[in-house]
Amino acid sequence: MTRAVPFRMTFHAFLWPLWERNKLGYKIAACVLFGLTIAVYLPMSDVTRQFLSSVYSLICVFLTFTVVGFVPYGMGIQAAAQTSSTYAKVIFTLPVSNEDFVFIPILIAIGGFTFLWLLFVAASIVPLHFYFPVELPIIQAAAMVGLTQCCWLLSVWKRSLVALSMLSVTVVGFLQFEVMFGLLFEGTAPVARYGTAIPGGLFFRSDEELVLGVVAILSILMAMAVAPYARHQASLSRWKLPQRRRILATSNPAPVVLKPKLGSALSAQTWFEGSRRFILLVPSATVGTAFAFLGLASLLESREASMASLHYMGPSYLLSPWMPLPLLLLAGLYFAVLFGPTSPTAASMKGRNHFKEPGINAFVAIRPISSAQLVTARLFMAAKSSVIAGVALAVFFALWPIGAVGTGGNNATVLSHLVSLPTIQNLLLAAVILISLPLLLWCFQVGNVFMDLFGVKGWLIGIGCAGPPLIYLVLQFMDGTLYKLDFLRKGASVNTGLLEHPDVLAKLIGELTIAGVVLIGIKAVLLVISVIRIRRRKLVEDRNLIAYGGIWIATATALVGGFYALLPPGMLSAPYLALIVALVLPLNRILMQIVTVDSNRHR
Amino acid sequence: MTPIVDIQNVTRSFGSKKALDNVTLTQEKGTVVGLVGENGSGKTTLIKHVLGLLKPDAGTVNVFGMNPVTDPVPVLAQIGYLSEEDILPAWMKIHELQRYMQGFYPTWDQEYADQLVQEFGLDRTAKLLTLSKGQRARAGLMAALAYKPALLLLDEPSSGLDPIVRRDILGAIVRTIADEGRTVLFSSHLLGEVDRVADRVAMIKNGKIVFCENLDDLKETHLELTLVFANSRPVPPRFDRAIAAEGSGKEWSIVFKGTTDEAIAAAQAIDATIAEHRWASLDEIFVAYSRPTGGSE
Amino acid sequence: MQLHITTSDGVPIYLQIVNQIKYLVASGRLATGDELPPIRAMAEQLVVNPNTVARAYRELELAGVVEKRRTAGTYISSGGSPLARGEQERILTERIDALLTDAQQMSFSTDEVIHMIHDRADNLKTATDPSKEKR
Repeated sequence: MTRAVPFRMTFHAFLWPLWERNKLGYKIAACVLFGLTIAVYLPMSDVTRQFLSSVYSLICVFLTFTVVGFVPYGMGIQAAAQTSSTYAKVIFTLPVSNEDFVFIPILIAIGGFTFLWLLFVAASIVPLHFYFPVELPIIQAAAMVGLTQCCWLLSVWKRSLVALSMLSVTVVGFLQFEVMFGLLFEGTAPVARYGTAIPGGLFFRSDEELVLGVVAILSILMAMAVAPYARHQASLSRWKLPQRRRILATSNPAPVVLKPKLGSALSAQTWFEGSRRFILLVPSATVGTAFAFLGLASLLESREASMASLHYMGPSYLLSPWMPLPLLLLAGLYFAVLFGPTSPTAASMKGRNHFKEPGINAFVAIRPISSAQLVTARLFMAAKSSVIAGVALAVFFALWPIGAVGTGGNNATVLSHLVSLPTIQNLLLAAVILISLPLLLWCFQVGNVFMDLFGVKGWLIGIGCAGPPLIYLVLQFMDGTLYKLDFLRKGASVNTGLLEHPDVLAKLIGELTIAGVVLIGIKAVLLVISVIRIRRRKLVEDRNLIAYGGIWIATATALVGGFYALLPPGMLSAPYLALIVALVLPLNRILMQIVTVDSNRHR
Repeated sequence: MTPIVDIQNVTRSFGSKKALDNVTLTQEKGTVVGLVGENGSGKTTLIKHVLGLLKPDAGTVNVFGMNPVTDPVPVLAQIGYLSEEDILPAWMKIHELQRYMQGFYPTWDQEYADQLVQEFGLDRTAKLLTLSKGQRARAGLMAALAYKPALLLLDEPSSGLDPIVRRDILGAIVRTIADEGRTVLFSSHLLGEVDRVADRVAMIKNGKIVFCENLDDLKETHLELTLVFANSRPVPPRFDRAIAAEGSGKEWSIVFKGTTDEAIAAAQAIDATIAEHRWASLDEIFVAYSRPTGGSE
Repeated sequence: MQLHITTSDGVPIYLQIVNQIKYLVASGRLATGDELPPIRAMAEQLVVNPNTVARAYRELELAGVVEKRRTAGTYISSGGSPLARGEQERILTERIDALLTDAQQMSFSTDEVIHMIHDRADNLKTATDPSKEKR
C-alpha cells in the first residue's frame, strides 16, 4: 500500500503534541529514573546495595503497573467525563489512514514504555535474579493502551458505550493489582502454565498473560473497526449538524413537567456535582471489579478454587483468613483516588495552565455560593457515591453465587457463606468492614483532590508531607533488615517472611508507628496553617470550624472505639487504631480544599 | 449614591506583562458603559476583576459597594454574566440549566425564562453540546437574564455570532436598561453596537484608560476633517488636538478634538484649508486613539 | 413609523431621531395629535439605549415639536405646524446650498443653474401630465 504521507511524518505528527505539552514532566521523570539507575551502582555495602536494588525493582514493577494504568486512564476518564483535550481534537484532524490513526498512538505508548521497562530490567531485576516474567508488563501495557484507545473511540462514536468500555478497563487495570500483591504477599508471580505456543502464533506463559494478551488483541481490532465511525462522528460534530433537534424545537409543546426545585445554592451545586455519570463512577468501578474477580472467577473455577480465592491475599495473621474484602477495598480506593478529581467542580476549578494566564472555568466560579459550600457539595456527592457503592457491593455479595454455576448442589452466596461462619465476632467484624468500605471510599475520593487543584504547589506539599516520614523509614531500614525477609526470591512473600522473623515485624511496626506519628505532626501543622488562612479570608464561620472539628473528633473516636470492641483482642491495640484513623480520616485535606478553591476562584 | 461599579487605581500584571495600569472606572446605576479596545488591551482582565475572578495587585474594586473577592456571594447573586468563551457545561440540557440556576438566584423568574426559551427557539430537552454556537449563546443569555440581575456583565458577547443572535443580545441590553435601576457593562469590538446602546464609552489601550466619556459628548467634541495643503507633504501634519492623521500628498484626513472654530484656526496656522468637516464616528475615534499621530508641529 | 439609525457617520443617535421626526412632521407623514411610541418601545424597536430616546424626546419637546401629556404619552403638538414650514425651508435651504457648492466647484454660473432648474421643472410637469407632448 503506497502511503500518501511518509510514516515518519505521521508518527511525528502524533508524537509531537504529547511531547510538547509535558516536556517538563518527561525531563524530570527521566532525571529521576537515570539517577536511581546510577545510584544502584554507587559504592556501598553489599547488603545495602541488594536492599536498594530490590526496593528499586519493586518500585519499578509497581510503577509500571500503576503508571501505565494512570496515563492511558487519563484518556479514558476524559472519555467518560466527555471533555476532550486539545490533543484529541488535533489528531482527529490529521489526514492519516484509519490504521495509522489507531496504531501509531498505541505504538508510541508501548514503545516508550517498553524502552523504560527494559532499562529497569537491565539495571535491577536481572542482577538480582528477581523472579518476575519480563514480558508481562509489556503485554499489560499493550492491553491497557489498546483498551483505552478502544474506549475513547467508542465514546466519540457513541456516548452510551462509554460506561461499558470503562468497565473493561477497570477489569484489566485490576489484574495488575492481583499480580503485584500476589508477588508481595503470597510470594507468587503469575504461574507459568503454558510452555508451548498456542495456535495462532501467540505465546503466553501464564493465565494473566493470556487474558491480557487476548484483551490487547481484541481491543485493538475493535478500535480498528470503530475508528472510521468515530472519525466520521468527530468530523460531523465539528460541523454541528443537529438537524433533528431543530425540528423538535418547533414542535415543542407546553413546558415539560418540572422536577422539584433545587431550593438552595448548596443543593443546586450538589446536584451539579452528582449529575449522572460522575456519581456512578466509583460504584460502577468497584462493583465491576468485584464482578470481575469474584464473579467471573467463580464461574470458571470449581467451588473449592473459588473458596480459595475468597481467602486470597489476606495478610493472614492480621485479619481473619477469609477476608476477600481487602481486595475490593483496594479496588475501590484505587478508583476513588483516580476519579476524585474528575468531579465537575474539581475539573472546572483546576487552572488549566499554572504558568501562564490561568483559565478557570468561570461557570462554577461565578455562582453566588461560598467556596466552603462548593467543597461541601463535593463532600455530599462523594458520600452519595460511596453509599451507592457500598449498597451495590452488599447486594452483589448477597446474590452472586460462589462456585461454578451448574456443578450441582449447594450454591451458596458470599453473604450466606459469611453468615455461616462460627463466631459472632467475625460476623460483626464483617459487618463493620462492609460499613467502613463506603467510609474509606469517601475518605479517598475527598482526600486527594487538593493536590490536583494546587498544581505544582500541591505536589510540593504532598512531598513535604510524605517526604520526611518516608526518608526516615528508608534510613532506618538501610541496613538491609528487610532483606532478611528474602521476599523477592522465588516462593517467598512478605507474609511468610514476617512470620519467620518476628523481630523484623516488631521493628517494622515500631518504625511505621514513629513515621505515622511524624506524619500526624506534619498534618497538625498544616491544619493550623489552613485554619489561620481560612479565618483570615473569612471563608468559614468560626462556629462552623469548631463544629467540623467536633464532628471529626466524634467520628474518629466512634471508629476507634468500634473497631477496638469488635476486633479480636490483641490484634491491634487502641493507640495503633487511633493512629490509622487519624491518618485516614480527612480534616485538614478538606480545609485545604476550601482554601484552594478560594484561591483558584480569585486569582 | 454609591456607584454600582467602582474601580480605583487598579493595577494587575501577569508575570512581566502589565495587563492593567492604574485603571479607574466608575459606573452609576442605570447606565450602559461600553468598553472598547484592541485585542489584548485588558478588557477581559478588567471585567474579570469586577467578577472577582482576579485580584488586583494594587487598587480597589467595589461592586455594589462590596469587594467581590472577599464577599463573593452577595455580589455575584446580582450579576448576570455572558462571556465570549463557551463556559456552559456541554452535557447539560436546557431545562437542567434552568433548574441549576434557579437554586442560586432567588429572583429567578421561571415564566420569564420559559418565555425567553420560546423566543429564542431553544429546545428544552436539547443538550448544549448539540446546539450551534449561536444557540448556545442564546442559552447563556437566557440563563443570565432570567433572574433579572442588577448588573449585566458582557464580555464580547457577540464575537463570532451571526447578526440575528447579535440583535437578540443587543435587544437584551436594551430591555435590561429599560428596567428601572438595572445596569449594563459590556466590552465589544463591534463599535456599531456600542454606538447604539452605550451611554458612556471607555477605551482601554495597553492596560490604560484612554478616555471614559459620555458617548454623545465624545462624538460632539471630535471632528473628522479633510485638510488640503497647497504643497504635497511627505509626512502627516501634526498640530495640537489632532489625534491622528491619514492620507498622502496634498489631502489629509484628521481626527480633531475641539470645536469647528478651533479646527479652522488650527488649520490656518499650518497653511491648510478645510475641505470637509463633520463629526467623527465612533469607529474613526477609536482608530485614531489606537494609532495616534497627533502632537504639535 | 419607521426610523433608520446609522452609526457610520458621526451624528449622535438622539440627533438622528430628532431630525427624522422633525422631517416626518414636516413632510406630513406625522400629523398633529399622532402619538409617538413610548420610550421603551421605541428603544426596543430601534435597538438603542432608552436614555438616548428619552433625550431625543426631550429635545423635541423643547423645540415644541411634541408635547408630553401627563401619563398619556407623547404626542405631536399643534405647535408643529408653523414649525413645519420653518423645517421645510431649512431642509430645502440645505439642499440648495449643496447644489450651489457643487455648481461652483464645477464652474457653472448661478444663471446656468437657474436655467437648468427651469428645464427640469418643465420636464417634471410633462412627465406628470402625459397629454402634453414632449418638445
